[in-house]
Amino acid sequence: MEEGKVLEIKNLHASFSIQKKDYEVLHDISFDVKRNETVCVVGESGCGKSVTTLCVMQLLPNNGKINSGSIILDGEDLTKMDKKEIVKVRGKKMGMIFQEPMTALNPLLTIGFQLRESLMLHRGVDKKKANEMAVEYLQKVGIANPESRLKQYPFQLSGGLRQRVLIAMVLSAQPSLLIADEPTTALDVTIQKQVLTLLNDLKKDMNAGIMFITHDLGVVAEIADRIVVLYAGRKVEEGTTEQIFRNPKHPYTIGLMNAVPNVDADEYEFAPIQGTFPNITEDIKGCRFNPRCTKCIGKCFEEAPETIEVEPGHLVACHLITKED
Amino acid sequence: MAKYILKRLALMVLLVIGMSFLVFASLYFAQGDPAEIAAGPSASVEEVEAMRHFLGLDQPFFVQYGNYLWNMLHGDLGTSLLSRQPIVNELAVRIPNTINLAVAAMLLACIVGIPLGMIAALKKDSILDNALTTISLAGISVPNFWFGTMLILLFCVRLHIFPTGGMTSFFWTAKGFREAVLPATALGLQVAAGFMRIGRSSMLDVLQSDYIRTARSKGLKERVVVVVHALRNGLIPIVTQMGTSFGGLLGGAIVTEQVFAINGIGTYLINAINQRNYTAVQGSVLLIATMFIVVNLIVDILYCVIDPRISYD
Repeated sequence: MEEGKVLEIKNLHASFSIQKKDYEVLHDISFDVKRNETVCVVGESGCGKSVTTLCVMQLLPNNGKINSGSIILDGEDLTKMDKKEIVKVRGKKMGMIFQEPMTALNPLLTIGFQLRESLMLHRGVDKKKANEMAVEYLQKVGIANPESRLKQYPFQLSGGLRQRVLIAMVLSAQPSLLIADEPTTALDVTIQKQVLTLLNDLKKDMNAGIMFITHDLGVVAEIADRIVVLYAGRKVEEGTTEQIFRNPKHPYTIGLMNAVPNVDADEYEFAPIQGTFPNITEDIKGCRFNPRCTKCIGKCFEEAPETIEVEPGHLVACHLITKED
Repeated sequence: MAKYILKRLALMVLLVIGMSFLVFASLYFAQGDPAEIAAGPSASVEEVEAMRHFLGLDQPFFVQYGNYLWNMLHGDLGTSLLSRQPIVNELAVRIPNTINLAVAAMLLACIVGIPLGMIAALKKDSILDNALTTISLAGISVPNFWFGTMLILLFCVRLHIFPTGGMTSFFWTAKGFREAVLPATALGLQVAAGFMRIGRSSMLDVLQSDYIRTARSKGLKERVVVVVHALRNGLIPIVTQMGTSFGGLLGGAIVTEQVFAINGIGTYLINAINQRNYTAVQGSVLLIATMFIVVNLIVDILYCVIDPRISYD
């Protein structure tokens, strides 16, 4: 494993079984996350972003399974661990912040209880010490009056506060990898900004790697160091934020960029990507993007494109792109 | 919380008064003549009229109801038309048996129904789950008088394990336990089956919820996730159901008491109806309704204890 890598996903294949038939939802996904780096995974709903996080957390629903590939966290392959070993890693080495802060906390337990639980489990402290630490972490995520918050129940907190509590909970275990699955989608824009800034600060603070799932390119521009673009369970492009925003190569990535409304233009025409996202039950031969691509060539309908490196760190899977480009 | 309970208590008094009006009015307008019954089968017309006057039945409806309400608030539900004993005394002798039976049945339903429902949810789609679902469906469908009779046939007539009927001690004593097992089983079966079904579906809901995923992602062991995070949430719908179930139990107790020859409110009520003993019917219906209201109050308080969101305004 390379120095500084927290997470390394290699050739990951995963599938869901629906009515006893297996459908592949992730096909040959590879990317990694280094320490002190935020990797944004972007794509439309259903492209496999969330499934990737659930694979890493080993929290796939019962009908989902990893078929092959490896997920290496801090040098250990998660796919080779049994349930008992996973429980020891989950929460401790990797923490996850979910999309919906309103429902992600247990409504019947106090904030204090839910924070202490994590601290006592992962930091091995007693209840009293855990309480003190809980106060510290709440302060760290910018919550005022942390002592009184500890005694409150989730329903007494706003969505933004709940998301902060969840972030505090994840951070309190001092994980090396933080997975955030659209953590700001359910929040309004000002709170969104605050949470993003908070995550950025904390990443530097804790020297952790962040895997950030989103479909909001504004958010991506704000926090990403590197970007992985997924389409229908396949990685179509990967590169630094600079590379992807300045020089997108894959027609899908270009489409995504064009679809962002430009408020500065006098007359802006909304430019969505044509067609609809394929259902996982659909079997598309060749490149999965071909039904919606405007630049298809004959090859696109016959074989899946291979991933090539067009410049250092910039990977694309498209028949139109060749090394010389 | 104290404020909430006080509010509910005040509401309860109003409810009981409203109930008393309904019960009184429905019997007032019912067929038959209480004076005739009280005077006896061989009484002359004059004697019946004298009795009517004596009982105050010749007065206008609202005067009669006013008197009834006034007496009721002073703990007097009138006298039995037949035995001439105060209804309150007659009910007081029988109510422990009914409460004993209903509480035993409810406990049994909780002890059996809730855990089985939860287990079915945790082992979803397994053979065990399917078996439990089938059993609960059967349990809901079986009428309790038939089930009670079958229990007597098997355990009393054939196997001689339990007494066929009667109730002389509370169920937590050794003797009372033996007496209560069969009637409580017969009465509690439907409720237990209901709890199983609700418990299973609510637990399934909870296990798929976001906060359970959070709990798992924290690295908690599955056992801790279930016991600490899922169980209490899964119980909420069952507690809601308990209040209504208890009403069903009181209704079922009327039949079950008959089957097992238990001298409770149910038996008393049936006899009172058969003998057209109006005051006794009034008294026992009012008592059963009040018990139902009290139980629902207890359930609501229990609800507050489990769910912090309820007691806050």
